[in-house]
Amino acid sequence: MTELLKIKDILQRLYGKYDMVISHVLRFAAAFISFMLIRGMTGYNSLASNVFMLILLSAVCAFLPGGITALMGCALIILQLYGLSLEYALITLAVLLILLLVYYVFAPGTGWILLLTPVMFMLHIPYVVPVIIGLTAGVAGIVPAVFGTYLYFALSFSSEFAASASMFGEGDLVQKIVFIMDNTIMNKEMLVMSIVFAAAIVLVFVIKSFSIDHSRTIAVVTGSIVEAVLVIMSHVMMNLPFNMFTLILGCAAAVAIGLVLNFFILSVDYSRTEKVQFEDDDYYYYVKAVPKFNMTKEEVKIKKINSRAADEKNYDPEDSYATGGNSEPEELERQKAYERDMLNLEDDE
Amino acid sequence: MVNKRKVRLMARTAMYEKHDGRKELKNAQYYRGDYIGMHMLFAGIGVTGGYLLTLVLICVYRFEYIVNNLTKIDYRRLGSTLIVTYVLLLIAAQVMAYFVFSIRYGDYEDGMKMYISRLKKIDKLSREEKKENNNGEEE
Repeated sequence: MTELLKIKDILQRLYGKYDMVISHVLRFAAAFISFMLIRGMTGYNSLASNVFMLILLSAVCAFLPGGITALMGCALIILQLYGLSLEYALITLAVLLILLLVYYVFAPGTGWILLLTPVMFMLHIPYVVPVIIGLTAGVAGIVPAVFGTYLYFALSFSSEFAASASMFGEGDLVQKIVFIMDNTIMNKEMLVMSIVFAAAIVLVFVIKSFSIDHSRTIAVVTGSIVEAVLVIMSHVMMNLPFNMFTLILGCAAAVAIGLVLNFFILSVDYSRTEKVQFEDDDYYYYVKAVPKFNMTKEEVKIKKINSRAADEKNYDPEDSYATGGNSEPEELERQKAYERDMLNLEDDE
Repeated sequence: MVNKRKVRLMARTAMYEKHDGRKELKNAQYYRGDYIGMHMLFAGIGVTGGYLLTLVLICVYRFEYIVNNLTKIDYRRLGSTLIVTYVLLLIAAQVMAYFVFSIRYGDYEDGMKMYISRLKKIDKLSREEKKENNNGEEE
């Protein structure tokens, strides 16, 4: 545990020192990974599949808020689907517009969830989504998570649609649209996963809000277990296929990622180093405010009271100064103190 | 001589202006009723747009049924159902918008109050400083 706390402390210091670089690099990495995953699932549009273009876009996203990255991701998805079929792209655009019009008036800060959900599906760890959202955005994240699930199913069906596109002739526009909607918006598995996600998000959020010790840890573990049970129950009830092994692994990943998120991110105050400028009648001030950190070094001292008599018998002055060849600065200081005391004793004698 | 307390307060105020204050001070400038009303209006427009888009999607999905039953559909009943659904959705959105933006405005107001109290403290310290300087010069 001490080692973990030290790592946390180091991370906090590092972020405090290089916050500008780290936040931009992380944003770039998140955007680039998301865009490459979208490219990997589709690849129907040459412009949206161009790696150089994606790097450029990710670099732009590194300096913009998370919501813009989500918007770019959605635009890429629409472009890719447009390369496959105009109807497909229009349906996806209409669904995203409904979300934009109805929901983002209320909670504009939850845009990142829209991209996070399909990305987690693509990384084969979809069960992490409710844990992350429950811990961070809370119930406000349910709607974007549902639409994110739709986006993933829209992307995953695209390859199937591409294979069966030859079935439709020039005039089969309506049949094509119905075929797309049946397999995306009306997809049973998509609806089931959306409901499970919504229930798990509410559960994680409610448990997290309890004023008890380790409420976040309890929320992560309980949420993941309940989510697994809900997935099994719903899939069995609706006769949908599911892989038990993947489910268990996915839920274990959800617990692990939830705990890491809680320990290293949510329970740490990554206060940034601030640089502000202001003035009064006499001076111009250029202030650099550096956050204070409480934990500097873990020192554990054990004092054995019961074994005093035994210690007195075996008392060795050299031991009390810890001169066992340790080269730590503190140990060196103790050694010097020991030598100095010994010299003083000799003088006295 | 630099007044440490004043610099601390000024630094805090500048940090607030740089981050949360940017949004909060802008929104807290509105009257409460105007701010909530404006967002209720946006919510109404959003719900109307979303409802229309959903209707278009449903119409496209059920296109074949609609074409085959053009003469058999009870338009009066369909129309009233659509209007009642729309009105209910609109009311729900308006109520939600009222509560969400009331809470949000309350938060902005709290931020603004703290900001103003800090400014007052800075002003008080500056006056005291000036007074001390003037007294020193007179002596």
